[in-house]
Amino acid sequence: MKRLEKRLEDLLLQKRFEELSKMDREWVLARINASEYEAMRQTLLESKRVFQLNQPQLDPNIKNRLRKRVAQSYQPNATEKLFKYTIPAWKVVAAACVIFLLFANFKSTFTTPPEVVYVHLTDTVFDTVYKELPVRLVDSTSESYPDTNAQIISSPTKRINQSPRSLYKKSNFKKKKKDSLQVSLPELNNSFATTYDTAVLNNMIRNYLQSPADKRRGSSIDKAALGLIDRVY
Amino acid sequence: MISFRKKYENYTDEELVKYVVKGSEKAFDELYQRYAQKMHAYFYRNLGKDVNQANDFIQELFIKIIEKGNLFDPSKKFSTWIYAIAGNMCKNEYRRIQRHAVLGLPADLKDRFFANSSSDNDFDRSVFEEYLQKELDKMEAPHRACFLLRYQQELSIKEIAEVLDCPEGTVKSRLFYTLKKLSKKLQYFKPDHLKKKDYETSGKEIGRPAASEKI
Repeated sequence: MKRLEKRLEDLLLQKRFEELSKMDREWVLARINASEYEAMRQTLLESKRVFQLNQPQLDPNIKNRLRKRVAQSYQPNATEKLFKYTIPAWKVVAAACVIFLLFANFKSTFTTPPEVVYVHLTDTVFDTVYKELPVRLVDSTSESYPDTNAQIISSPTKRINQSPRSLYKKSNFKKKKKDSLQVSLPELNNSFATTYDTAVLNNMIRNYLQSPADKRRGSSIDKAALGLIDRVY
Repeated sequence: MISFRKKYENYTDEELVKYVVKGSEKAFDELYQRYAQKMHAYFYRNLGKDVNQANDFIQELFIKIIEKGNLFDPSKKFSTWIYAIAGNMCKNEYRRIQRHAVLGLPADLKDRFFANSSSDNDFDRSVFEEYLQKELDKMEAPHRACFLLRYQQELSIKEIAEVLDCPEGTVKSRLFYTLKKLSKKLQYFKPDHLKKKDYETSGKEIGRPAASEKI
């Protein structure tokens, strides 16, 4: 049984019978005659040409119908649906931007100074009065008073979270000298901090300032403290 | 627009089938683009140049792939699988209509060709195509399939053997037989488009040691 060998096929596609070398011609003639060779060659070439040139028109609607079939044919379970869900990259980027902006805005509002001022009253001459009282900031920056070291110091923002839990930091005072004036203020804490009612504090300081001089032992604090009270409250 | 979409055009046919089975329309689009036109042309030639029937068969073929794609063995070539399915569909169709039992010889070939013996290549080609198709239709299905797979679809001998599930030697002999038979039937379409005079005066043809068959 004769076969269409690769060599014969190549020769048919590439060369006319007259163009075959002597060796090829002998090889071909051992299988088919020259006329058959030419006829087969022509049929082969023309057939290939017809197949290439005359392509039938494919119905474009078929694809759409089949696409629907693809979607219908597969029913994923809930987990697969979840993982199959795709998000366009631009949505991911947009979401990241929104989160960033929200966070930045939140941070900026969070870091906005709540206008808390820490008041340090210091009488270095004799006694030391040390108070930290969170109040609404009326006027900021440090301001000195004559004849004293008393100051109003605006609160650095980082101290917000370091605000003392109680107005009176007892532990701090313990470290100070024995002659430091220890003012107990726990009863003032909440009402003072929330209502800004300064009456009690005012009275305490006034009482202190009005107390006998041998107990106050120093006058420079008088003016400073009163000035401070007026200014703060 | 940047996206993280899969680039299905880089996927192999075998990978695409897996995604099609899982309902990926994009994978289907890519697979369809690769095979629809080729398979349509294959059906068109195999089913007597009936475009509508070829369209129906294409649809049926891809429905089989969508619904039965899970039966595909990914260790094998998808092209072999799809041509095998297409071949079986054609065989079933032949059985149904008993196509080659009703077709007759084109008795008017010679007259029509010589009546239009101008050098109009388009006409020559259209006549050639018409009779090529008729001759192909008369061929036995395996021979026609071999010829179309080799010279229309340009599959290798090995691939054809896999599609038709037969030895490569069988494919080669079928190709030889088919080509020889077609060349005898279509011998009027010779190089340089031999005219009637040549035909009448040369029962023996140019450079040919033995007499050739006539239609």
